[in-house]
Amino acid sequence: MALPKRDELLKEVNYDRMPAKHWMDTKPEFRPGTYCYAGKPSVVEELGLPNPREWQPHDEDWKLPSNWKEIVLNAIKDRMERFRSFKLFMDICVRCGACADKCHFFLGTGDPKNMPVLRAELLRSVIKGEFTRSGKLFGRLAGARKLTEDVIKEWFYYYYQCTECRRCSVFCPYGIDTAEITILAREILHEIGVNINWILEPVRNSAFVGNHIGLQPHTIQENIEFLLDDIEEITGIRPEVPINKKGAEILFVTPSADFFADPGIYTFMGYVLLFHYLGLDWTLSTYAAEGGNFGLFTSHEMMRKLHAKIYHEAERLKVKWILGGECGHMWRVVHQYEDTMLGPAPKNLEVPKSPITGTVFEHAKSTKIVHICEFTADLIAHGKLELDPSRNDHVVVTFHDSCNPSRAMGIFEEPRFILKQVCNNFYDMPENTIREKTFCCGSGSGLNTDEYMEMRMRGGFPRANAVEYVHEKHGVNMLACICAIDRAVLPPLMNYWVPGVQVCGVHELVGNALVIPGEKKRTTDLRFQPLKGAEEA
Amino acid sequence: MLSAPLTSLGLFAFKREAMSLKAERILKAKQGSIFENLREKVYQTFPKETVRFLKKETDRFENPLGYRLEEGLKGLVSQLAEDLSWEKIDYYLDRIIKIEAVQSRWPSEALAFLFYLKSAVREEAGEEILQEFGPEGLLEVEDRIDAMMLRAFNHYMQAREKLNEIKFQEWKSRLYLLLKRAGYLYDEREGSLPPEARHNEKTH
Repeated sequence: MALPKRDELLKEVNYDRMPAKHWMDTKPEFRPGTYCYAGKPSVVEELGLPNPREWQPHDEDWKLPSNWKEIVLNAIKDRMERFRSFKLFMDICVRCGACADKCHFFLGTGDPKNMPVLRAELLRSVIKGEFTRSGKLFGRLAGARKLTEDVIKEWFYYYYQCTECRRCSVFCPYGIDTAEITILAREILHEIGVNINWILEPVRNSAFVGNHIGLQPHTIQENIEFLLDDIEEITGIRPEVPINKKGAEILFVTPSADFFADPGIYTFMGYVLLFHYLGLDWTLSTYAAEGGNFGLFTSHEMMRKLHAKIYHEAERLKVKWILGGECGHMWRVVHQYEDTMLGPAPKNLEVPKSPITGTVFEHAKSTKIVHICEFTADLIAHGKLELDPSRNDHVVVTFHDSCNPSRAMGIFEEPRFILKQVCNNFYDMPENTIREKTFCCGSGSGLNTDEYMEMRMRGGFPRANAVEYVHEKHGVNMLACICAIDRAVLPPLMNYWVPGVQVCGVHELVGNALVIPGEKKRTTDLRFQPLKGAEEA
Repeated sequence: MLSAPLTSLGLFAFKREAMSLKAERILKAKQGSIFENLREKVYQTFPKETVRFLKKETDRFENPLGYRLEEGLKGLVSQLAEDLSWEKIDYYLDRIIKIEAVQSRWPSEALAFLFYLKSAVREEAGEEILQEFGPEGLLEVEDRIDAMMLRAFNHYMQAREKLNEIKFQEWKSRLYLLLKRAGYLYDEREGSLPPEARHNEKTH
C-alpha cells in the first residue's frame, strides 16, 4: 500500500520555504515586531535633522528627498575621508567567516544577513559598485551593486538589527569592528531622514531637558523623595540626596531610568545608601541627569553634544571629579570617544581620588570620570565597608556582563568582586557567554522599544539560554548587571525565556548588604521582599 | 489568558492501558532515521548558509537555536515510542514553540514541524508498521501526533499572549514610580494585592 505524501499538502499551505536566491536579491519584509517606528516629524525638526516627515518603515514610499542618492554617496565619501577605521573596515575583510556565527541576532534569527560579515557587506557592496572601477565593470561578480531605494530599506532593517555590542569584533582576526560600521551606517541614513523615534525622542529630551523621558527638576526631586520614604521604611534612615549643589566634591551621573523605572530605582537606593554610609560630599545634576547617551546611536556630533552637558555641569557646579553610575553605552562614550571629542576636561576637575581610601584613579586622569564599580570595589578591597552578605541569601545571583562596560572598557572583575562580597550565592554563566564573549541583551543601541519585542526576544535568546542553564543547575534567580538598558529589557527577556529570574543592578545588592550605623533591623530587601529567615521570624 | 494548566485538559486524559502504541518497537528501532528525516524537513525552512552552521556547531551556548530545535525534535520523536507522558511532550513542544512563536512566522508555519513529524514517520517506518499492524497501527501513531498538534496550539497561544503581556508590563515597569506615586498600582508589599493577581500586578 502506497502511503500518501503529507508534504505535498503543505505546498498549498503558506509554509514559505526560504528562497535559495542570492542575498542581493532578497528583500526584507517589514512585519510588525521586527522594526522600530520612524522618528516623529516634530522631533526630527526640533533636533535640526534632515527631512522631517510622516512615514513608517512598512510604507511603500519612504518619502526620501529627491536627491537622496547623491546625499548618501556624498555621506559615504565624507565618512571614508574622516574615519580611517571605516575606510579600513570597508577594505580589509577577507571573508574568513570567524565572525559569522558570533552575532546574537544571527543565532536568534538564523538570518544570514545578520552574520556580521554580511552586515558589513551590505554597505561594502555599494561602495564597490558606486566608487570602484572593478565594481562598476564586473558588478555582482566583484561583489558589487548599485545603490537603490531597496538597498536603503535593507540597510535600515539590518543596521537596526545590530545592537553595536561588538561581540563579533572579539573574534575578527583583523579587528574589524562591526559596531563602528553600524554606527556610521545609521549616521548616513540620518542624512536622508531615515531614523527611529525610540532613539530620537530620548535624544531630544536629553538635549532640551536633561534626561531621556524629559523629567523636570522638580519631578526628579519628588521621585527621589518618594524613594527616600521607602529607604526610611526599610532601614530607619533617611539619607540626604543633594541636587544641583554647588561646590560638592563629586558629581554623580547615572542613567535617568534609575530615578523612576523598575528595577533601576532599587539600584539608585543602593547608591544613596552607600553615599550616606561614606558621608560622601556629592551631588546630582538635574540638567545632566542622564548617563545614557542616545546620541551615540545618532551621530558623532549628537553624541558630543549630549555628553558635553555632563562636563558643563561639572564646570558650573565646580565639582572636583565625576562618578558614573551603572550605565552601558555611557561608558563606551567616556572610554572610547570622550577624550578625542571633548577633551581636555574642564579645568576645575582634578584627577579622581577616593576621599575614603585615598586611591588615585590614574586611568581616569584625562576624562575625570570613574565607574562606580571601580569606586566600590576599591572601598571593599580596603575594608571600608561593613557588609552582611546573608541579607542577600534569598537570592542566587549570576552576572550579565553588559556589552559596553565589558567589551568597550574591560570591566570584568570589579562587579564580580563586589557581588562575591555582598552575597553568598554567586554562580557565573558558562565561560563562552560571559566577560569579553558576553551575549548582548538583544535590545541595546536604542532598540529597547515595545514595537520591536519579537526581534528583541530573538536577539536576547542566546543570553537567556545561558541564564536558563545556571537557573536550572544552581537555582539562580537573580541576574545582576551594570547597565540601565539591561535593567529595563532583561526582565521581559527573562519573563519570556526563563520565568523565575529577576534582574537587578549590582548596587542594589550592595545596598541590601551594607550595615549602616544607626539603622534598624532589616526584615526586607530594598524591594520590600522578605529577607531569608525574616518571614518565619 | 490561557490559565488552565495544560495537563488538566480532559481531552487528553487517556487510560493507562492506552498509553503505549502497537508500533512502539518499530518506532524505537527507527528513532534515529525518523529524527534525521524530520530535522532535514525542518531545516529546509531555513536559509542554506544557516543550516550549515546549525548542523555543524554542537556547543549548546554557541548554537542555541540548533541545540534547542534538535533537543525538542529528538524528544518528540522519542516520545512517540514511549508511554504517553504529556509532561514530557509539553516540555519538548515548548522548547520548539517558544522559538517559533517569535520568528515572524504564521501560526501554520510555526507549527508545521508536527506535520513534518507525520511525514517522517510515514517515510521511515510507515510501510513496516502497515505490514505488521495494518492501518490501525499507523493511525494510532498519527492520532498521537494529532493530539500533540492540538496541544501545540496551546503552547503557541501562550507564547504569543506572553509576548503581549510582556509589552504592557514593560510600559508599567518603565513608568513604575510615576504610576506608583499616582496611586495607580496595586502593590503586593502594601498588602492590597488580590491573591489571584499575586504575580500579575494590576492597575485600577
